[in-house]
This record gives sequence, C-alpha cells and structure tokens, in this order.
Amino acid sequence: MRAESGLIHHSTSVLTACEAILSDSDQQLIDQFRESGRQECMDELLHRHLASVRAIVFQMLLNNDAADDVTQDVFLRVVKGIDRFEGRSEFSTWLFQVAMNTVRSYLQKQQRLCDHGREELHEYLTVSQDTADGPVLQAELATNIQTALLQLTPQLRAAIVLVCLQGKTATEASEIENCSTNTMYWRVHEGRRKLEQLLSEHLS
Amino acid sequence: MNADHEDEKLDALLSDWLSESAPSARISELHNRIVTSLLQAHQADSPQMGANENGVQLVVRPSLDGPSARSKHWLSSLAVGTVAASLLAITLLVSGSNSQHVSPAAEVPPDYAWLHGEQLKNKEILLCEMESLFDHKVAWLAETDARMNFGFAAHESDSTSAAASDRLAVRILVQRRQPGTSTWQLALSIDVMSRSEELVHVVPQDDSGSELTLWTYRLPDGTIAVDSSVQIAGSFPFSAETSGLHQNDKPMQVATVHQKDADYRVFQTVAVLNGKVI
Repeated sequence: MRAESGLIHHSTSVLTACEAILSDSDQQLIDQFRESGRQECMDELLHRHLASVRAIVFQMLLNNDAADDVTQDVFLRVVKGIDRFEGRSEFSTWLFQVAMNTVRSYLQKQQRLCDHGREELHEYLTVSQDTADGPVLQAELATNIQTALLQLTPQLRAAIVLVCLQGKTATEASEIENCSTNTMYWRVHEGRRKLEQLLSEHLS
Repeated sequence: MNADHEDEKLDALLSDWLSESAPSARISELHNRIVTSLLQAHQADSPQMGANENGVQLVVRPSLDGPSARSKHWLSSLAVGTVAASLLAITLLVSGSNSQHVSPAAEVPPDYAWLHGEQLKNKEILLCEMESLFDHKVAWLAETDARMNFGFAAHESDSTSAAASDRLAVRILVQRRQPGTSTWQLALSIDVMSRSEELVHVVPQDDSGSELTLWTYRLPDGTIAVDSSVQIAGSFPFSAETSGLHQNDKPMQVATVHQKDADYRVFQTVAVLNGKVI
C-alpha cells in the first residue's frame, strides 16, 4: 500500500514536472537547461521549433534530404552555442538566424565543392519531386515554383521565405537577416518582381 | 494597382505550394534523428545516457565546471562558425545564358578601376550641384562615357530622410576578352553616385542595351554591402548578379564568367563621399 502510494506520488510529480515544462516559455526552458542541463527542456524546445525550422530550411534549399541534414546541423549548433543566446531577441528569432546562417554555410560549401557555377549547383539542389504531387497544385506548377525560387539569389530567397512564406514582418525578417528594414523591403520587392517574371505564365 | 494585383496572385500561388509542400511525415523521423545526433555529440560531456520507452533519450548535461567551461569547450566551434559567418557575408551568384564557369577570382584590378581623390572630389561637386539644382530630389546620378543619367526620389519624404545618409560613389567595370587572347578590353564602365540604401536602376540612353541595377548599404563597421545586377545586350550578351562586402575605395573583382564567345570579369569599387563640399 505504501509502495503504491509512493508510485502514485512519483507519477504525479513527473506529470506535474512535464506540465510545467509544457507551460514554460522558451526563455525559461533555456534558463533551466543552462542551470541543470535538464534533457526535457531541450527536447521541448526541439519539439516546439523543429517544424518551423525545417520548413524555412526546406524552402531555402528545395531539397528534402538536404533540408533534413541542415536542420539537424542547426539544432546541433543551437545546443553548442546556447550560451551565446543573450535573450535580447526572441529565441525563435535567434534560432532562425542560426538556421539561415547554416543554410548559407551549406550553400557555400556546395558551391565550393561543385565549383561549376550556379547551373550545376542548381542541379545538385534538385527540386524535390515528392512534394510536387499534391492533388490541387499540379506537379508541374509546383516544380516551376521551386525552380523559380532556386533562381533567386540566397538573399532574395531568404526575404521571400521569411516574409511571404513564413509571414514574418519586414522588421522581424531584417533582424534575422541582420540588415535594415528598408533593405528587407527592397529584397522582398525585388524577389517578388523576379518571381513574377519567372512565373508569369501562371499569373496571367 | 496592377503590381498589387500581381503580388496577390503570386502570394496565392506560393501559399498553395506551401500548403502542399509541408512534409509532416518526415518531422517525426527527423526529430528522432536529431535527438540521436545530439546524444552522440554530447557523449563526452554527458555522464549519463540511456534509452527511454521511445527508444531514444536525450541527455545533455553541462560539464561539472558549469556553463562557462562548456562555452570554452565550444570555443573552437564558435570561432569556426564566426569565420564562416564572415565568409558567408560575401556571397556571389553570377548568371549568364551561355555561362560555363563562374567564379570570383582575385586578380589585380586595372588602374582605371580605382576612384582617385581628384575624381571623387569632382563627383562630390557634381552630386552637390545636381542636388542643389533639383532641390535635393536627386536620388542618384550615373555616368556612362559622356552621358549622365538621373534618378529622382519618389516622394518628398524619401529625399528628406535620405539627406543625412551616406553618399557613395560606385564604379562598375566589365572587361571582355576573346578566348585564347590575353588582352582584356573594356566592355562597360558606369560610375554611380547615390545614397546608401538607394535602389539605382540605370538604363543608359544609348544603343548598347546595357542595364545596371545597384543597391548599396554602409554597415556600422565601415564596410559597404553592394548588390548589383549588370547586363549587356548586343552581339556579346552578358549578365551577372553579384553580392558582396567592400572595403572603402578598394577595387574588388566580383565576378569572372567564361562564355563560349568571350570571357568576362567584373570589378567594383565603392568609395564613401564625405560630403564636405555640400
């Protein structure tokens, strides 16, 4: 009876701890991780942000396998560099900064490895076919959209991904991209203009 | 209105694509993969590791020396990351219809790539006179050969707010040479004077069919970010898009393009105009 009571008490404590983590803010989870190294804190952060990070990485690279690899690298960098997060911005903003830097790092590395110019880099970053078979959006159109996105420079693509696809404000996006808000406005404008040219047949 | 309509259509198109490209099925698998990799990465630091009922357990513990020691442990990684981030700031993408190879190569810039003191002074005087003449509505000036092109601020507020911003002179040179020859010939030379963050679009009124889009931004550390897109039409069509960080008044080769009919290289020089003559 005492053993059962102890078990119930223990289970209740664990449940309470889990509930506490779920209700903690990102900053609280980071603080706890720094202080005690509690695994659940980092796991919860991973759970909260994995989908959004993976989404922007995929939208930058347009390749599922590369997106998985780079997303993994992003979270490795985050854990290694967690002490550098000073809390002056939202954790998600810092996380997106790390993600964008990791994406650029990856693109640069591929550029160096290929060293065959943009066209062959694009061949390396082949458009993922498994995302282009939706019932509403025809596969060809999806492929055209991804090909058009790949033709933007990484800066312009990042602007389109953050503002047009992820719904960030120009100010938030500029913080992630470490540029001025005006610059972000210009990049979005220029990115839209180029996409509209490239996708003109689908916009008419 | 038309542009807004186009934007709305584009947004709708992207939104449809976005909703169908979310690979939710991969997330769970990726989550486990990341947890495993984090576990492996921290094996050295982690005194306890084990598997929970889901098969994978993340145990990431700070070292016994506390967070500062952990920071030191990752110092080398961070240093590499910082250097990588700096290098990443200089990105370069060049496109050309017949491009076979594109690379930024460090070659000695030609003498005429430099913006010398006297030239800069004359450009400042010219810019000041034009601003004065057009009631400070001039957003940028561009010189190609003996021709002058102007861009005006779209709104009054643009010119007012930009009045205090940095003025910059940018020289863009495109050189061309025939395959198998060693002599570079000047294919295009444009000097632009504008304010930082001003979008410049130059279409010279000549028969060259050349076109330049330029944007500059002076960073707090004094370096200048420059995005440019240069295009030459005619019998030797060429286009290049570049993006890079420049030191003040230091010519930089930003692109080398090998095409079937010719080789090209692009130099850019950016100098801050101090505005003393204004």
